[in-house]
Amino acid sequence: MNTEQRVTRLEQEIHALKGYSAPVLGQLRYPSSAPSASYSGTIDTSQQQLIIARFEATFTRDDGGTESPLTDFAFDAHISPTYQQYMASQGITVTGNDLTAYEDFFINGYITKVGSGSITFTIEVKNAVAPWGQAQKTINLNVQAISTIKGSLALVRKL
Amino acid sequence: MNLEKRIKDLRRELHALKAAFMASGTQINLFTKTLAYNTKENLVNEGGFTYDDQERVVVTFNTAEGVNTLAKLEISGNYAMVPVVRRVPYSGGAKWVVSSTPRYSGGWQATSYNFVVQSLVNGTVSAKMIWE
Repeated sequence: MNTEQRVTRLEQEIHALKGYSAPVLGQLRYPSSAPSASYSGTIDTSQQQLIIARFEATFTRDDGGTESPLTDFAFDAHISPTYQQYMASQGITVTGNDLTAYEDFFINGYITKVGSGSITFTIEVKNAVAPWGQAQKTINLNVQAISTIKGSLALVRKL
Repeated sequence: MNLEKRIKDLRRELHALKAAFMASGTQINLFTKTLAYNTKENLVNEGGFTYDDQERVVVTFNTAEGVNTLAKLEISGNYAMVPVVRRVPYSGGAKWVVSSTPRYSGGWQATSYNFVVQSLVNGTVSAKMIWE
């Protein structure tokens, strides 16, 4: 092996290690800029199947590494009209400390796919999420990915 | 820089990276914080009729550096009902919403939680009802 080949091989090995040793090298750098994505659309709560909407949030690392990135996913979802808004339209006043807690039981997220350099988190909305009033409701979803590795987040509705 | 010097530098960097790489699998920093918390009643009044609704607790882990962190929340409590837990978007650490149905024993009773947060970055944990 000539000198140039030795240098190239060393540089390649260093590049690979930098890509894969993220828990040490990236621990404090990249979570400060966690990417987020949002969706706004309608759901139909009259559908008979258990799951009436499904979203896939996929976080893909930017550095070209093929190991799946260690990632936490966070999300918030809001459905309108709320129960309080619907009851107000019926002339009934609803008051209390927390009037939108019910929905939290029917919107759940799980890691469902570990890909090459990526990881996918699926968020499912169950048909019991908002049984009041008209079937058509609006959902606003906001998802955030927290990883030790720099990357991008894509949010797609699958159902 | 001559080539031998360049190779020497690269070898030194490679050696340091290998040491860090091995350490990443065996010596990841993990900080553990615990907190006990009792829920408060979420009393709802609907046209004059009152009832207890689901109780949502916000658990917040703030890191000393103000950065987000990979973290895990473990929960135990005095209630058999399995709470629904989701991490919510936040800047400055990690935040979760923990939901459960109200607990009754001769009337409404507080649910007592023990929260354990494990994080890659050090910080402090706090909890409150979502409306507070």
